[in-house]
Amino acid sequence: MTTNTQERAMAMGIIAAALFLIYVSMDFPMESRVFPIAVLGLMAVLATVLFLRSFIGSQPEKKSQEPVPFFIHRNRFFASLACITGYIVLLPLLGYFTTSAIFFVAMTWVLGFRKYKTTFLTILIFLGFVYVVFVLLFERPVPPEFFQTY
Amino acid sequence: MLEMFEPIVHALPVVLQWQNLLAVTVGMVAGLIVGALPGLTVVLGISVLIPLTFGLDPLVALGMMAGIYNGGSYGGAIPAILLRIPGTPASVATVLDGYPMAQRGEAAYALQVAVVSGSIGSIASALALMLFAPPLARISLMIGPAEYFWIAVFGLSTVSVLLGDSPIKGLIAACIGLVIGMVGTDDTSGWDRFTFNSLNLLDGLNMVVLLTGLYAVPPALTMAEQALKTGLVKELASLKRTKSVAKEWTRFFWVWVRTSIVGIVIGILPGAAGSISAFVSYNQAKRVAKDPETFGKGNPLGVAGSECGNGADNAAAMIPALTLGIPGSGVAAVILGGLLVHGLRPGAQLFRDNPDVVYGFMIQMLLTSIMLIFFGGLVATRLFGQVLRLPKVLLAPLIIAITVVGVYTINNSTFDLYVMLALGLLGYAMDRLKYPTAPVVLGLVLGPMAEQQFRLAMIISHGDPVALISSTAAKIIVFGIVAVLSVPALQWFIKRRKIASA
Repeated sequence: MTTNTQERAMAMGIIAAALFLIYVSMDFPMESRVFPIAVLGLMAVLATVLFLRSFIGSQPEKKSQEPVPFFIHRNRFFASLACITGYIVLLPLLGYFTTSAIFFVAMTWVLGFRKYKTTFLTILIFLGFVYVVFVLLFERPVPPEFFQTY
Repeated sequence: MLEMFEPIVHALPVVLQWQNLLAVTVGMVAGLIVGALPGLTVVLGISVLIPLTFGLDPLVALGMMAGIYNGGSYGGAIPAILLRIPGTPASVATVLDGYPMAQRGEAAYALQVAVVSGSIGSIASALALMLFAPPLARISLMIGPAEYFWIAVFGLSTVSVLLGDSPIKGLIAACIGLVIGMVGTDDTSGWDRFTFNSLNLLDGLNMVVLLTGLYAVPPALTMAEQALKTGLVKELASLKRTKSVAKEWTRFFWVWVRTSIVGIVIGILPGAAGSISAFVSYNQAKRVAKDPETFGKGNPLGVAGSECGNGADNAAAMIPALTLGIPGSGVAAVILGGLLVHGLRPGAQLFRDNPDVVYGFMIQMLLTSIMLIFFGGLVATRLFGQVLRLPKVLLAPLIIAITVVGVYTINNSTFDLYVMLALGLLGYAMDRLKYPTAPVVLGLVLGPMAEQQFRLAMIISHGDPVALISSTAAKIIVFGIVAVLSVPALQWFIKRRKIASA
């Protein structure tokens, strides 16, 4: 995908979102909709300018026509995203410390890091730090562990 | 004149309480670590820290932020000098002469020049904050709703136009922030805006969720994609002092004076602080040097200029932020967000209602600038620089895990975590397509204020829009907005003329 194509996709996404939200704003009472419609209208106009500029070629550098990957490493990106999503989903079910330990091992393994001693030492130090700071010192409530709820 | 310093003297004992001193120290160490690690920014450090400070005294929280700000400012110079990798965007100019110095065996000297110059710049900046912020806050009392509305628009315009490469992208980013700021129940009409019947959105989106989503998640994803499995340096162990800045202070004196002034002026200008002041200061040092041809080849004056200018914009960027709610830099925008999280609104009422907090913060900025000389010493640099050995592949899950616990503990809500992830993906896309993210934060901070003041102005004038530009002050600010928005067109015109003449 060229930089121009990425720019156009983003601009189109912004225009679509702005138009949708303008449509939603139409239901608001007058005093509540003036500001949103003005801002969203401006956003749509600016995104349209950006969209058109990529065609008109006010910046016709050859660079922008060459394919540039959006992701640095697509597989690692989606693998990491899956790990983070799984982490958030499991958090209320298993508790913060259990889920964090699993997440840490899973993510570093997925990313190809195989020095398990370093990984486990880091987990231990990090979770110890979170326990001391969040639980003991500031008494912040973290999601309870699954074995505590039974 | 002396009564101006009364609140500062009054706040001093509060700042010197052990909790506040500990907070400042912890913040400084965290800042040095965050700054030293390429890819991690001061903004990220503060964003991750803010949830931790809930329930704490605001001055403790601000002390940590001040520590991270000044510590991170110097921390970026460590990898810039040792590895030719700028730890922060502002330390790019330090690479130019710092790395050649390290190559010829003067790494320790270069680090010393960097830390002393950065400290001097930061001290000058903190003094400017103490001197200029209180009178400016008093002036803000004379400003009416219409002028406040235009000031908010001015702040958004300058940050959007000047902060990134593309003014249009900057303005779109500001609009995104403004829209995010509209989510929730409208205070005036009681109508729910963009909540889509979700109870979780009735109170709007939390500032911390936005900050962590935009600033902590994208770098973590980028680090995961890069998956670097080895740490960076062994050079730290072999650092040896060859010369002393203290013995050569006369050589640096005028560079420090000039670049401190440059840094402070740029810091005050909304949106211009950060790497701009480091580069302008570097050029200033080069312009007046007797041997400008040696710049870029390891001239210590180059390191002094860029680091002093970099430090000098730190506290100065807080002058418009504390008095008018318009931050001078991305970091100042996030600190402003931190103030709001603690229920503190910028402006004259902050100085009137919470003098110990606001003046205490100014003292903390000064204190951290002085402490930097000790924390940035050779032994400490060796110690904190060890974080560079940590493989980045381990940092990515660490950032996510600390961010998750911080965000969860705000409302005990998993919903906030999903919002954080969604904003993180938005921030990632914005980073990749070079949309600046600071205008989003500013949009969220200034949006509700702009809308409220606009409505107030309309009510006062019985709906007459001309009232918005009827006062002289409003006209001047509107002229400023037009001038700022004309900058890109002017730059384009000058560029075209240069091309045509060449």
